[in-house]
Amino acid sequence: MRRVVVTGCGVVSAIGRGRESFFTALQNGASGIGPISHFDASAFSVRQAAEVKGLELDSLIARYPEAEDITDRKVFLALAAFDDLMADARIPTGLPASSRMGLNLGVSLEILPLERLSRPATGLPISRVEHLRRLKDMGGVLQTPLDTASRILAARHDLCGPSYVNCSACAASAMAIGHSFELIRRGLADIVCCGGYDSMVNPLGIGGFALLGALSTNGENDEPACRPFDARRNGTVIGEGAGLVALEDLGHARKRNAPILAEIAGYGASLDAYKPTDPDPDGRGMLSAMKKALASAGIGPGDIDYINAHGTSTPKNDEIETRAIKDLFGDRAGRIPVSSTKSMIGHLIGAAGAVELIACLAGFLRGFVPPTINYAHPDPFCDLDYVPNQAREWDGEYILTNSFGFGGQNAALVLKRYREEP
Amino acid sequence: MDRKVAVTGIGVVSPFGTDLPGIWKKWALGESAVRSAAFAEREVFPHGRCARTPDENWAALVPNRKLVKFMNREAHMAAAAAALALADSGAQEAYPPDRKGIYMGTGLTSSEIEELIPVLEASFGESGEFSCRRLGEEGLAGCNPLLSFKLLPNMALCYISMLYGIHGDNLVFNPWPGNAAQAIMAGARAIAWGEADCALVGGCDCKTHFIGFLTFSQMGLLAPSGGCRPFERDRDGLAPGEGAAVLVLEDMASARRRQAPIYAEICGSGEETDNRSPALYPQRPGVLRNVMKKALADDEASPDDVGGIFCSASGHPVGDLCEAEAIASLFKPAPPLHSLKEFCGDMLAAAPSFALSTAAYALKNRLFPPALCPRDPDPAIPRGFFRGESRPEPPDILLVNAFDLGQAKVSLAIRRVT
Repeated sequence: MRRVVVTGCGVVSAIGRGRESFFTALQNGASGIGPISHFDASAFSVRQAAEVKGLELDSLIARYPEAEDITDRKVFLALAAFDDLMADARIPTGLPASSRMGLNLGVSLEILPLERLSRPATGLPISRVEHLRRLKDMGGVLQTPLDTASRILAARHDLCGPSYVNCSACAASAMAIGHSFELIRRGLADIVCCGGYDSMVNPLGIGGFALLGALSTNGENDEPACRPFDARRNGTVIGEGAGLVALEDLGHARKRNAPILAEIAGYGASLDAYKPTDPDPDGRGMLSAMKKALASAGIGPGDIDYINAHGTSTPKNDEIETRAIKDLFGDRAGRIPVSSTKSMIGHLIGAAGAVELIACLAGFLRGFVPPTINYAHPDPFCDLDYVPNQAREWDGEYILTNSFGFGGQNAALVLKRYREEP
Repeated sequence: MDRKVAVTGIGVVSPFGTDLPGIWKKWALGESAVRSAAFAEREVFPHGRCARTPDENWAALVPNRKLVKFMNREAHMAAAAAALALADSGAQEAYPPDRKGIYMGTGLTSSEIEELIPVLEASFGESGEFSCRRLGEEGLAGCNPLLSFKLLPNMALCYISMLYGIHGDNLVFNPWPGNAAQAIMAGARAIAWGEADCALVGGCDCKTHFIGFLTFSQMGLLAPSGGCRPFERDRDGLAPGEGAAVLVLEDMASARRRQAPIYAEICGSGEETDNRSPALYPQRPGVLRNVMKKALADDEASPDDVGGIFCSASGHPVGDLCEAEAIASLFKPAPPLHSLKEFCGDMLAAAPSFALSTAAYALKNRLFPPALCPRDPDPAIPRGFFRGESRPEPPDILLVNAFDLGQAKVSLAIRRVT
């Protein structure tokens, strides 16, 4: 089977846009979490999120006028990351069409613009039917289908290879990357731009997750909101952003002298098949995905040198993930650095796996693994080396990165330091 | 070498019901399940018509009442279809949980948007404007805390895994029929490549409610007249349907060893991204032609081998003609064309797997699928294109097209197994 390499990335996050500034922020243990500014969250129980600041919508719309009427912010995050990816991977105009470049984007769900839903109701009281009749007549399209970013990008950049929209919740972008890896490895594509984008920092996104009790209400007190593996963790923090990578057949990449950042060596997916609300307490689904990824890479537990954890900062996930890692790596588990970049960028839901995979590239390209920030209180049930608060020098060979989705969809990817010879 | 992929189980929840012989009979008799829309606000769409799925046929197939509370309507239908498919195939006990996978297509999020209307109404400020503050103070308090489970488009797949103990490989795509057909392709590849020994593939969708009508009306795709009339001169759009269809796929050799019921072999698939059509409906016949060619090339079949095509045409003025042109350019003459959309509405993300299910049923039972024969066909379509007559022998190879919305254009080829 063919070797699959990463030849570029585009990242938009709360701690930086672009590979180098993102890596620097990770190395510094920067936090992108702060008060919500996208809407008035003052009456919400959760008022903290990891927002992307300084996204220049006007310049994006100038570049993509076909996106002018789009109200869904996450589409713009995807467009921004894609532009960065094309530059980083040195993909010239013409290559997408000649190489039949594919697109495989993960995203979680459509979020309705509540203001738009309610606009016709101005001047209440009106009947419900009248409200709905006005909605029908007001023009435009209420919903932004999840293929919107793909359609814009494929049309603009002449991407005529296969195009997929993966909606596997928090595992979506990791699964999109894993699926693309399989397609390239088996010769069905030569180059695929894959990853994910998402923004749930909106009234329904924050409100919905808060109703589920999944979000931390800290942040305005002395307690940090997102603190994976810490004994005082009490929920995750929603983030937004996009992470896209160019996956490429090694031969194709060499032929065009593309920069090679790392190799994707393995992928595994599984299902918890447990409960809608909780991960399997025994971590069997997580364990299965990790095992499959190692088998797919042709390596064993002894080969992994760093684990980028799903590490959501929810009480259950972090404990169960820790247990699954210990089950797989045995005595060695405590000697492998394990960190959660969600502590810095929040939980990017559909984009989480891809942005975290890009964070892993810092290990190969900058020689460090990112820390878990806000870590202060060891939890007896989370007893691994979580790289607390400070980035750490690193020169390993293999990285495992985990993404576990809402509903029990699990994905794990193995990255390998790229070397000329296998 | 890739393994051959057998269809060994079928489960459908459709406006024509759940049993394939019954569905076939209604189709052959030309019955229609398309009725006036039944939602409370139907006066907003005075001519609105759609095909609903009778609840009594399928709701009880999912015995876990606790889990059903988390489900939206399409996920519930998908879970019922999966139950039927697994029972039909007998595959549930034949393979370990890790070797069974699920590959699903789901549609636009929408059915539960109606639940948001009361939340919104509680969130209007004194001036009648929506207020985030009011949402936080009042609106969210009245919101169903399980709403997120109903909105997430991956949950149909997850519920199937929970109900039937499936732990293996999985993928879920969104939002159009072509994307749902990609899920079928992905499941077939997983079997062919040995990544799974048993794959549940399919799709589910439900747009027979107010928001479905609203969205498709805003997109300019809803038939103002209310009827779905593929290839007819006066066609004016789609009539929403709803349902789910799930097929069980297995490695052919394993299926034979365990003497599974084998409906057909998925012998080919083709896909293209139509990235140059600005609209949601198909506009480039050349792309569709290539997709069908690819599906046949996988099996080294020629257009002459094809005994019928389950069309994607949903009644769109431009899209239908585009598919007709593509078929006319590849097949000389065109084989008999088939479609259930006139009778069951457009089941959208469930449409490709529903069509594939009926096609596989036809192949196994050596049936002639009823041929499309428009009463007043589009005059732009050449005379003689629609072959009302059947061929002397039932078909051996059928194509199922998923072209009608979005950029992903997919055609699936299935072959009779002797």
